[in-house]
Amino acid sequence: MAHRSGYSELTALVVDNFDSFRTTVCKMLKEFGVGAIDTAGNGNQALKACYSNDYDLVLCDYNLGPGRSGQHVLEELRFRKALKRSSLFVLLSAETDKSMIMAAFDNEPDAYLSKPITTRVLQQRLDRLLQQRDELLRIHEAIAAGSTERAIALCRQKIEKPGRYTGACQKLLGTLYLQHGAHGAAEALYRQVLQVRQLDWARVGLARVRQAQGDVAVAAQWLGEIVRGNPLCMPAYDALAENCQCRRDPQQLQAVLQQAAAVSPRSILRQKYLAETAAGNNDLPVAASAYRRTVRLGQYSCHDCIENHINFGRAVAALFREERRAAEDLSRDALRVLADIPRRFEPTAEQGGQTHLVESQVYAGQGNRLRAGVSLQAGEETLQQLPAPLSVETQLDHAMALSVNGKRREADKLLTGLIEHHRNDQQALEKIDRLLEEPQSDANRRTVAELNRSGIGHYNDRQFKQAIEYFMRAKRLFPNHIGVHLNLVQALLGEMQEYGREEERLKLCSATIAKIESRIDHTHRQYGRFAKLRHSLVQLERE
Amino acid sequence: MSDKTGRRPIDFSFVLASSVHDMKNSVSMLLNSLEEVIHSTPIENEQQRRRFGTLQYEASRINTELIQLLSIYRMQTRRLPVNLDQHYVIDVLEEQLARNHMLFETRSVGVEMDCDTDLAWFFDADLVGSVVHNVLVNCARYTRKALQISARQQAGMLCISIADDGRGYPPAMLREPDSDTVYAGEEGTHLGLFFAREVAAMHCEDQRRGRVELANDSALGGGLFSLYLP
Repeated sequence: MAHRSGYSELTALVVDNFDSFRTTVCKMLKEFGVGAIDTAGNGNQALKACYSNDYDLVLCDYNLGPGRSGQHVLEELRFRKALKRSSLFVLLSAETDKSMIMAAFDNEPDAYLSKPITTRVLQQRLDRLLQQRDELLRIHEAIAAGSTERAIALCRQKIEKPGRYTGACQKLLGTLYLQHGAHGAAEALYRQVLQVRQLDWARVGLARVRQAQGDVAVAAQWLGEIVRGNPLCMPAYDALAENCQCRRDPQQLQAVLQQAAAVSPRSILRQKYLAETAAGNNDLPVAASAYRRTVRLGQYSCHDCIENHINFGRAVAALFREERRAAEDLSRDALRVLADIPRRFEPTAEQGGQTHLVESQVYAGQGNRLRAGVSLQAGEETLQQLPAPLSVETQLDHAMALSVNGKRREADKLLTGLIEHHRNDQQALEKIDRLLEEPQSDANRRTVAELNRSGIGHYNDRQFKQAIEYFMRAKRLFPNHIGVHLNLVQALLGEMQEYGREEERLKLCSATIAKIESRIDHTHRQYGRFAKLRHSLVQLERE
Repeated sequence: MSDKTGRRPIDFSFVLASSVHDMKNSVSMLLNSLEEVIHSTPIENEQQRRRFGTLQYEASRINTELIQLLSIYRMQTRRLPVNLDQHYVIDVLEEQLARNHMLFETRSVGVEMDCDTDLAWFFDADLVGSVVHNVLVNCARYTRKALQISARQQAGMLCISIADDGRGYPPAMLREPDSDTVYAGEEGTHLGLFFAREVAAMHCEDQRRGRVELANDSALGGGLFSLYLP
């Protein structure tokens, strides 16, 4: 079989955990005339080989037995920039699991071949890939050298003479224009492509242009349409997430990330982004399970980090305050992950302290007072040896651990000191707010005031459903805010007095009353209002 | 929803899809090992050639059928969107021929291709690739000794056709080009044809939709499968 010349100059690495397959592929490559071939039997060996050699071609199986998979190898090589842009990475696999392929595609393998592969299939594919590599080499070199203008000029040259690589060059050129801020040129390019056919990549590109031009609402609408038409279009989700960031809409951002994570559940970075966003929204069930998945996906990933592990513990600990049952299910896993930290990472003394304090909260949630106390003590001992001042996060971990260990007064004292110390640090105050009855930061005060105002407006117009929605949002964001809880009860009661009682609503109402009751005493300035609402609820329940 | 016992009823198609997925992975491994066996055991006589041929043909038929089942499941749950992009038709055809090279070799089927190297079109290469693959695997069984695969532009549509010199498609298959139900007849389920029609219909542009045509007047004297894409 005739094939392109130039194979003899290539160096290749073949990665597979099966000896026989490595031999087969090596034989194929030798047949093509490849000059130098190395092999690796697992992910670690593959990475090591790639760090000490510049291969032109890596043929890597997805499934490499226990440990890193082919996807992890590619992910790390891309992350550490250990692969030249001119190198080809071909992922092979006997399985064609959708979520696996989707996650692998995030790291852009040059090709994906499903096993069994034959000599002919491999050769055809390599011929084409090498041809494309050669054709686009100068463009990639310009990009790697940081000379965007030169890369743009080269792309345009190629596109002027239509051919096999026109599409690839158009895609590259659009991205380059966008990076370069040449919005007009990008728009013209995408429109030209779209005139011929409605291709998703060009539609996403055009939406990105709109977004960059500041027309965020139109971009959101377009991207939404793309995702509805093609739910597997990951670049559209990524652009949508950016869009939500621009609009400062963390609720919508979470919704988009949840959708993206459902479509491609093995993507660690999106999972982590979702976990952080949900934690910011104080949507604890979502945050806790997303952190759990992030930690799991991180086992062999270069994107794993100690923060994900501690944050998983924090999310579960916080979840105990809202949904006991769900938290209990996750708590064993959380404790295991926390206990594993010293072995897996090299935690700083402060991180070690945080780990103990979070652990203490999870034990307390489980009702294991003894263990909770031991961990709290271990955490405090670690903190004492650290130079002041401690980070806000650490002190919050401490305050929460104190609180769930029955040391409410100490916790309050710590928080008061913390607020005093950070009087002028809005960012720090925003973090502290979650634990307080009333927020201290300007931003959070505004948020609460706005949500309350909207809720009360609807309540006064007897639009109870909308009012309840606003108070629920406020309640989720500020779980200790008594005023918000009372407003919610009032709106729920109002709705049932108008339209009749409803079991779900009644349940929510009494749960909210119970929560307030655990945090309020008769000296509280809202106690009178609370007592009145509780009375109304009792009457409604008797009806 | 719950039945009398209070348990949630089983979503059978989901269960089936999951188990099909497992089976497919096993068959892939099987095919892989088989490939290695054939590779390391050069064919010595006609009987061995036929046996290898049967093994390979039947295994890849199971594989194909399972992939089709999964794809149809994904189509129904709207998780198989069309991924349109511009592709060179010859790349897709050559890849499928290369993939089935061993099958044609063991069955002594001669394959001819007629496709302009510059012919480019907008389509989903994976979906169209698997339709072509299915037809090729099917033809390898029913043709006598020749196959002809060709692609050309015709009235604003891309036409990929595969002709053989076998006995042709049975009348029942020729009769029902518009039916969208899976037809189970004596000759099998015709799942492949159903799949091909679905894939064709998923490709649409303005008012035009892709379609599949079957005939028995091929240049080679046997069946003629044609896939038209807008």
